[in-house]
Amino acid sequence: MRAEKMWGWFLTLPSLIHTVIWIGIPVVVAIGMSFTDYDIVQAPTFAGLANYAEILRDEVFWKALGNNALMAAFGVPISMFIALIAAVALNQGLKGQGFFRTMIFMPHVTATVAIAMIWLWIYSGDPSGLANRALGFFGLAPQNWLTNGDLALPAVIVVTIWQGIGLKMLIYLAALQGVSKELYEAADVDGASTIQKFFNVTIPMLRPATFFVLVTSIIANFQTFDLVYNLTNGGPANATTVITYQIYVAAFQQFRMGYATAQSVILLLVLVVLTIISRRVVGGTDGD
Amino acid sequence: MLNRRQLLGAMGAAGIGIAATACSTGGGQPAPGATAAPTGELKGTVHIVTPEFAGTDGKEAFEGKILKAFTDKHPGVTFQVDYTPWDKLNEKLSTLVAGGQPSDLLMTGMGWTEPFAHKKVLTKLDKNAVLGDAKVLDALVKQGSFNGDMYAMPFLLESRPFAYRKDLFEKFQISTTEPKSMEEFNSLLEEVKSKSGLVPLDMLGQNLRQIWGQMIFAFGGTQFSPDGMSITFDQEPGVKALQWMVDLQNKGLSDFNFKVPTGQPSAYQQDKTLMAWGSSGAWPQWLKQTPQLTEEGKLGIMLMPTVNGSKVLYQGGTLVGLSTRSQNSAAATAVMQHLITPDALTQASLFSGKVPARSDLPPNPELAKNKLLDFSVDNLQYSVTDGGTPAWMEIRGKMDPELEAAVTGKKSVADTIASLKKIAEDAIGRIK
Repeated sequence: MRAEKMWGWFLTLPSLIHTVIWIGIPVVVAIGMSFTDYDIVQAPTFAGLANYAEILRDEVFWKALGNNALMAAFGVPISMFIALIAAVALNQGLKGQGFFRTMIFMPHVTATVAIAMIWLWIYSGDPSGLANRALGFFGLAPQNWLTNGDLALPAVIVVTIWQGIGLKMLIYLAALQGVSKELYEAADVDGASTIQKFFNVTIPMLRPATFFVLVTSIIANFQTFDLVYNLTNGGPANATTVITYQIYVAAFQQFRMGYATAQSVILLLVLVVLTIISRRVVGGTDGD
Repeated sequence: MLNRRQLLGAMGAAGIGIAATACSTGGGQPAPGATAAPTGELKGTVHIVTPEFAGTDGKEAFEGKILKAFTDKHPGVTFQVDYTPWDKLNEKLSTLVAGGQPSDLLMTGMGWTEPFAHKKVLTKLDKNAVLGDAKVLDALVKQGSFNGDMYAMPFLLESRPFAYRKDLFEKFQISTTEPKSMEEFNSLLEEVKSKSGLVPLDMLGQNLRQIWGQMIFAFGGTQFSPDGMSITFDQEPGVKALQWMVDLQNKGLSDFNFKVPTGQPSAYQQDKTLMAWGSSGAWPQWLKQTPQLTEEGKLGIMLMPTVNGSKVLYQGGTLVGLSTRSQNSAAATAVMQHLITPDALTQASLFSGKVPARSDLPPNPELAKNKLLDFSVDNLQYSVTDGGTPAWMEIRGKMDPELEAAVTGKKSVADTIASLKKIAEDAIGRIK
């Protein structure tokens, strides 16, 4: 038993070293730096809780947090639902399903900058933009999707949904293939309909996958940066700004590393709390 | 007053003295602690970060022509050039500094000198050694100075006069007489709108911070006190300037939604407006995308009048600074001296379309074709720019969202000014 434990530690060692060096130490340093005033050039000076006190008064930070919450609240459930439906549909052995799986997964492996370029064209305020052409087809007036403060955030959320479906679908597909066929056969014997089998067999059996997808999706939503950076730069008037963008601005545009790391620590705490809540709500198993 | 022909056309070497009274020259003693003129054989690698020479054409202009002329004279020096677009420059500089390996030479923008000098990123320069006998306007040298010492060498200027469609003005029977007052300028916009049915001016789709910066001067104010340690933009001119921008949007005289991604044809180029806040640096793009707009009969140029009867010409620009952590300051200083030479500066100006910082360049017919540049050189004495405080790098990034909120009606002018005041005072408070 002791030898087995030693062997286990030995196998874990590479991952452990990686985690300590590349995650553990930076996190500790970042937490320490969050209590300093550090402008990159001069040495950090201890600032106590000043950065955290400023965050409490920083309207833009809370606006960013609110935008992240909205992105997660709308983007995550919608993309999870679409991904689940797509996964179930593409798990039926349909003709050409490989092609459709690839197409749906493609946005996940496409560079976000390229995605942003495409959506900049789709969302062009010009009547020739694809979204405005679609509106024109229904006789509606063209919109300034990314410069209208009321439309910009929903427009960005649509892109995050579209971009996020692929990976979620892949995870659901893998989970679906692990669901025992005997359960469906037993449901058939009991006379269950397709919808009843979906809700009473498929959904419960996908609970671990759902928990995993939910947590990773929430985290991914709160880490959204490149899309906002390339689509809107957080504008107009901070309508689409997110926490990671604010961290970037503080660190690399304003040279306020201490303040930026304090924001990062707050983000870390938010994600820990949301993960705990997700676990309670979805009820992941011990093996998750 | 400087004259176009003095500066770009007929003056040449023989006419240098004509403009001398308006220009700064070398002379006097080097500032204490300033970098000295390089001596002896130069060697080693000089690392340069530049936002100015984008793409393969830019690389060819900078490394293939400008720097090659330097290495022809100093074969022991090699270059490592980091081409970074303007919108990523701040991030690039901060990561280089944070990584402990800043470039030897840093190209920065107007308003950046005070913050970078204050943070000791830039070395104090010996103005005489760097500029030599180059004629550079005192106002431009001041843009590269902090606490009276020069920390960055003016290189190129991006001037923004108003371009207008002379042919369409005539077609719609709109007067082409240059407005003499703010009222006349506003009336002109109204007239363009009523007669053409178009949004008159492509301005609010550009950088609101820079527009506000110009308009504060147009209304007779300033943004900061001379020492940069207190704000003045909350006074009447600043409020009026922002109200003017909000009115432009509300009256349909300019449109915030006319933003286009970098490099794409502007609303003016797309014939959506008859007037543009045109940049001399946009000239090469106009030549490629819409050359018809540069034709004599189609291009009119005017300046923004001010409340005190003068004019304003917004001036962005590119300055060259020497890093305090340069590993090869002798060669880097020699490169600065080379960059301000007539040949190098002409090449840089030809590529970028921007106004050369020195006023005694020999005539160059190609350079004279850039009519926005030509007009700007004629009117350099009206130059204004934004910034002027060591806290500018923090303040400038927070201005745009606030100004966007005002222009899009999400926030009142008074609330916006109050927010900006708090942002600026907090930032200045942190550097005191």
